[in-house]
Amino acid sequence: MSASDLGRGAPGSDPVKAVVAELPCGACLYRYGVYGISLRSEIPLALPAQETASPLEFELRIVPASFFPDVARQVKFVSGPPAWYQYGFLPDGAVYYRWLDNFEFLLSADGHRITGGWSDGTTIEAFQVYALIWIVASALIRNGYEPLHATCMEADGKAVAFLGESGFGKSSLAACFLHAGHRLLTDDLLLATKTRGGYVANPGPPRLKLFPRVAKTFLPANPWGTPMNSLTKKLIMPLLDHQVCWTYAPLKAIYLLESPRKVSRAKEITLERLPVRDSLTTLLGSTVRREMVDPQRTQRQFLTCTDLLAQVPVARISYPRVLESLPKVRDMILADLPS
Amino acid sequence: MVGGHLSLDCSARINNDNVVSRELEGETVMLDLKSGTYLGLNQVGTRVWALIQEHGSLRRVFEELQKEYDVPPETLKTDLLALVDELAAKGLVSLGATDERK
Repeated sequence: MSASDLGRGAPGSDPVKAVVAELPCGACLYRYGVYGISLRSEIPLALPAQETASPLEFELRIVPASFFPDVARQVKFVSGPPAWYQYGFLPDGAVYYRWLDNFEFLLSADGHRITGGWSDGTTIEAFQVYALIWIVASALIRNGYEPLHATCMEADGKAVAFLGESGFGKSSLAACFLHAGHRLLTDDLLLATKTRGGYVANPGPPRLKLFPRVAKTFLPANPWGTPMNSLTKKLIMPLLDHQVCWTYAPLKAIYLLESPRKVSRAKEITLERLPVRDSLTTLLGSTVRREMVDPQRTQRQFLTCTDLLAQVPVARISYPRVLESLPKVRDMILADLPS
Repeated sequence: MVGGHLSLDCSARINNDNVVSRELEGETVMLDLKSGTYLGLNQVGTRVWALIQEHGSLRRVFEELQKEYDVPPETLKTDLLALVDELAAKGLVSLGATDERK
């Protein structure tokens, strides 16, 4: 069966149900490991292949753009998001996501099946970024996990996570770590899972979203990246094998990057341990898809974040947003990391 | 408290159906399940919360706090009842008109 067969249900049937019925799991030929879970895909992805499935497995199916108009007609859109991004629910509980003129996704009600497509004007690399961050994050939440909006590096066997809103410099700091020979665990989405030995950070996709100037400075030998979208100059930078940590690492510390608006160029670099309440607020604010609100999830966010806080220290680091300051920030973090 | 005056003779019970709490580094953070809001108690508040859980009697809570903190009894009583009143107003603690556990 080809991707173009999707959505052709029997006359009058629900096209969403038709997809479920028509496409057997075996159509997803590729299996990858990402965020500590398995992802089966119809198309090859820039992820490490996985031979044995993890207990939690998602599927990614690709459909042509013609699949979605019928789906969208059934969607009850949730008001509020900006016009370029919309989402809503189908009667069966599935969620539909649309980045106008770029990507569309359907996440099944059970959170295991992602059906996606992209328009001619964009790239498979950008599609993967949206699928593997936004949609997989939603799938994880639907399966009872609380991923964080974080970038995470591995240094000497320890994982260190950076929190902060988009544009706060998480990826730039990560690039500076890479420049010093440390390895990327994940960019933008962190699933920290609890083990007997404490929390571990699971590896995400082996790429980093960077502005060209940062990429030139810290990753001069890397292949040049692919533009993210027309709204940003950020590039999707593929990483070399030795720049990627392919397995999980113990999460030793979390650093909140202070807002660039609160930091003057002349300001010194400061690092301060956060009080419990501020740490909790920080972690809760770094959970993703916060529009997905229900009492059960609110309770889970609280329990997850407090449990993480009980084991992993959170500090705030404030530094001027000039590239020259990043090596000092990196060294300060490395010196601060618990053993 | 319905139909009564808050005093040390009241009993207090934490509404576990309404709140999830966790102690971290000597402080308590709480999630009010009804409103979805997060609350925090400092170290003294955390001790009060633990004593309410343990004893259920505000007088017993008061007596324990008297042993632990060097403050005038009237100040302690005022502060304790103010905190309990606030917790009760948020629905996190239920009060009984009389202390049945005396």
